[in-house]
Amino acid sequence: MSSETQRRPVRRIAVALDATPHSLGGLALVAGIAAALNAEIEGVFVEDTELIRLAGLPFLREFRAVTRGESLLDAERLQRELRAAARQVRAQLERSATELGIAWSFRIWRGDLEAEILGAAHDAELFALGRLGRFAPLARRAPSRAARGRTTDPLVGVLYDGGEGAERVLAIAAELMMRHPVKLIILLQPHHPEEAPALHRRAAEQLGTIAEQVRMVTLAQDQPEDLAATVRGCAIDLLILAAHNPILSQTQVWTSLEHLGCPLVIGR
Amino acid sequence: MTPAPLPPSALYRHCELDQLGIETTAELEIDDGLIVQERAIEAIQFGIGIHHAGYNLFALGPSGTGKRALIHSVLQTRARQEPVPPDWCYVFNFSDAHRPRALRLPPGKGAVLKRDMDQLVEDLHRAIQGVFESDEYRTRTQAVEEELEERQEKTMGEIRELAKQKDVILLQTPTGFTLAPVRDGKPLGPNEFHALPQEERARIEQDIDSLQAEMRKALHQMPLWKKHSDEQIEALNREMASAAIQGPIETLAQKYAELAAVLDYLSQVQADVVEHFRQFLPNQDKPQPLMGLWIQPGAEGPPWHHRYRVNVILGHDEDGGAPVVYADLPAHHQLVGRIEHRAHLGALETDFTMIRAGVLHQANGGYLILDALKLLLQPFAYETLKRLIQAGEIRIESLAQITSLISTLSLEPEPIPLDVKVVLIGERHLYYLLCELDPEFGELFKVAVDFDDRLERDGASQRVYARFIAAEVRRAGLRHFDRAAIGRIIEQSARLADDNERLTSHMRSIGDLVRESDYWAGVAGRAIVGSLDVQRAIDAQIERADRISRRLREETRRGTILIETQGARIGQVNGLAVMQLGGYAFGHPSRITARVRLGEGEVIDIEREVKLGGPIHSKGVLILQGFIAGRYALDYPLSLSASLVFEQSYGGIEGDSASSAELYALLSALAELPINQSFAVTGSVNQLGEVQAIGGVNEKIEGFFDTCVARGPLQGQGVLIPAANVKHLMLRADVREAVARGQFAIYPVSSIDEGIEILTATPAGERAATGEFPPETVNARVERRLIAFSDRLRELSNPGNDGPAEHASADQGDHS
Repeated sequence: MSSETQRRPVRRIAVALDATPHSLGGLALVAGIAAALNAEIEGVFVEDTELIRLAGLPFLREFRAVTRGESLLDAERLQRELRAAARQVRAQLERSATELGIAWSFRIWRGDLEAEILGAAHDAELFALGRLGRFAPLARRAPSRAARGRTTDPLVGVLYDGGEGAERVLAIAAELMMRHPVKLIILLQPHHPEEAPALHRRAAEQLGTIAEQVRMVTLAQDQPEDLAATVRGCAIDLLILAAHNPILSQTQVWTSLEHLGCPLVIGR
Repeated sequence: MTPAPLPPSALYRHCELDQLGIETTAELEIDDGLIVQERAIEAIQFGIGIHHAGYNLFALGPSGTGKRALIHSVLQTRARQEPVPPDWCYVFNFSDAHRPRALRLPPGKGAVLKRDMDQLVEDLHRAIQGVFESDEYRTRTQAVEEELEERQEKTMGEIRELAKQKDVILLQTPTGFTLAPVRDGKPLGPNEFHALPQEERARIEQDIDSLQAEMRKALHQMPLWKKHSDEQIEALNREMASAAIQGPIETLAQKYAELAAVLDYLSQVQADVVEHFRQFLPNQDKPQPLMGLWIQPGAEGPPWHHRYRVNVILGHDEDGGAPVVYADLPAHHQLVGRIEHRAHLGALETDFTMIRAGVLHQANGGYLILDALKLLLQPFAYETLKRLIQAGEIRIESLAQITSLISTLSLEPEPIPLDVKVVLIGERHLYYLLCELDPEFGELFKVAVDFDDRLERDGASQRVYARFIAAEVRRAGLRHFDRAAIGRIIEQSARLADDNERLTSHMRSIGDLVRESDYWAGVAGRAIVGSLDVQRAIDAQIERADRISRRLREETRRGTILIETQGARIGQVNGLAVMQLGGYAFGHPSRITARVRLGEGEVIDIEREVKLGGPIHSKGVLILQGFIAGRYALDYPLSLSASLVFEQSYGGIEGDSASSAELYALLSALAELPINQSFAVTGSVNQLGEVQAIGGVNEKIEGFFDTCVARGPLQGQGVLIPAANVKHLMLRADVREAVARGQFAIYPVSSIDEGIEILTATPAGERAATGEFPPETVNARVERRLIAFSDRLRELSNPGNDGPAEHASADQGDHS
């Protein structure tokens, strides 16, 4: 990895948001990262047009999560509710950014979530993504009550395969650790098991003096299930990976997110 | 026999300086120097020794006699040997916040418990935060939440799987869920759906209906699962909180193992902390915004901290003895304590930490000294004191509460048992009034401590005086007094007591004299206070106060007030009156005249007729009538009309000390014998003609002396005083010197006959065996005049009858 690549600062972090509580939960974490990296945060509110299209089917019912009431799907009402949700998300983004003193922007993106959402954020250096729209978790519970009293630092995982993109995201994570109270865990992703020690050394070299404070875990297999098990087992709050990482190409991104159970930050 | 004038030695009793046994007060090492009154001390010892209801004390006597100092000293001596009373604290009542609990603790433990509870709150912060940030708690909480989540997701997943089998997907909407048919992983729009065959559309609709039914069932279950999950987490929270506080509480419980009340309180604290453990988590301490303002918690911590605090309203040293408390302002709230309020956002609020002790709390287990008059002057204070003594407990209520002026919700602190000896201090008349007017007073204040206002003058009491002076010198940092100065103060004390055989116990006056003597010694540049300085202080006191007496003397000298000090007059005598203005008393002569004429046996007291004479004065005049009627012309009706008056008197007259003077004037008028105006007279008289003692004899003599000096020349004037008053004489030096030079005389008289002889220079005359007085004696002349009145009256009543004497005798014989 060239030192130039490592030194290039992150100018903007995009975060995909929608009306579900999960995306708002991820917003706070990403805003903190943006502040640490002195980057602008861009909120991208996603309106899944597929949902609007469904309103034309008269036999479909919408079940309210809180009141458990039912109603017909009404396109106009759905759009109004989505706009209202977008305003709330925008306000939340503004509050978070103002509190942290970072620049922010907000835009609404309408389209087919599955096909085009990743393309929507191509111009962002870091793109934070949780489970959105029809891929969001079905449970709509509030954030954990245990978390209210939690004072431990968030645990940020970095998926590292030694590639250029991986070096870049590792550099970002290291910078984040030095500027922000987070703990770092490197998930080494060797192509062959024998490459693991070398990968470990390279990562340690790149981390330099902070390497001793960073835990490194080698993934046993290059499988999404193994990665998901490690992420859950280590209670990783956020996973940073490069855009070219196979985990994104092997399976549909939404499936990956479902397995991992934590938001992703994709670095370019 | 006419009494001889008193020698100078009888006019004043000097202090025998040898009896003092010291040269100056520097030789006396004394701290309190109290004037000990044995009777009073015995009464106090009895009152504080007897432990039964109602045996409280009332110390009665004139103010300024050192009652409070003596009582305080006696009580303090006793209290030092008595056990220290318990500490009292108020703590939060977890079952009823408006009724704070009272905790009784051994002496000195109140402050310790307060510190321990403050520390406990800090410890609980750490301990509770610790467990709720622990991995164990996070893990267990997440496990419960994940169980719920899994349950929900499993159910929803089953629906989703079921849906998937039927080409239907489950979608989130902004406010809930919906089901949608899919083809190739993408939801079917209306156009695609309607393009399907009818059978397919019907099947999809049917599938979705059945899935929606499943969905309803699942959604119906979810709140119940959520509730169950919440309960599990709440139980876990309580378990964790209990575990966190168990250690600190148990440590405290071991420390206070012997105090059941504290253990009970701690168990309540434990239960309350478990109930409110969230208060101890960090985010609970953040100030909450109100109307855009951030209200910062006070220095004492957030308000919820208060509920675990200890309000030590009464703490003692472990070895301090029982308390002796004097309340200088015994207002209601000072007695029972009060509940303070703090202004918060425009409202007044309070809690148990704002309960303040009253003097009854402070004196509980010991002694409380109160000024009776001040107590009675404070609204409801006396009634409250009685009620609390009767109830045997201190109940903190405000005046507004007991008078129902307000009925807002306030605190009702748990009453504290009351065990106190109350000592009221007051004037005698106050004690007798309370006895008379308040039936409860006698039940509650059974011990009267009667302070004498005079002490017997002997060697011992004079030494006590010397000790008192020495104590004053030490207390006020004065110059020391030499022996002569002490003696002069003792002599002045006898003068204040109006008795050369007694000393006053009005120590305030003596204390003033001591301090003023020191001042004059300083002015004179002396290092030791001598008798001259004491005399200067006495003279200065008089000078500062004698404006009125000077004015009277001046007007007498100028002839405005008619007083004669020479010559002789029929029916006119110089009486003597004492005026008391503020703290200064002085005597002044007053002309008394009598006029007689034929009448029906009445003596008219003009003062009484115009209501200027008081009842005692009127009584004295009526006694004169009894004396005349009982001594003279017994066989004749009293046919006299006499009038008596204090000339140039325009104020009220009270007392009977002028009754002998009035009688002398009357006898002079009847006998038509002039009275020597060089003399003034004082003394009361009874129906037998005996002259009785009066008060203020020294002031009266000096008053006449000053008048004579002012008018001049001083040449043989004098005063007739009752013989019984000789022991009261403590006359000024100038009077004594005039007597020694023969320019002034004091005659002690025991009877009217002795007095009238001196005044008229005519023998009074004793009734002989024949029943008649010797001719030309005063009594003979009086009797002859009265008989003449009687005869003349009879003549006027019966113009044709024979001689009056025979007729009268016959009448007398008939009656007998």
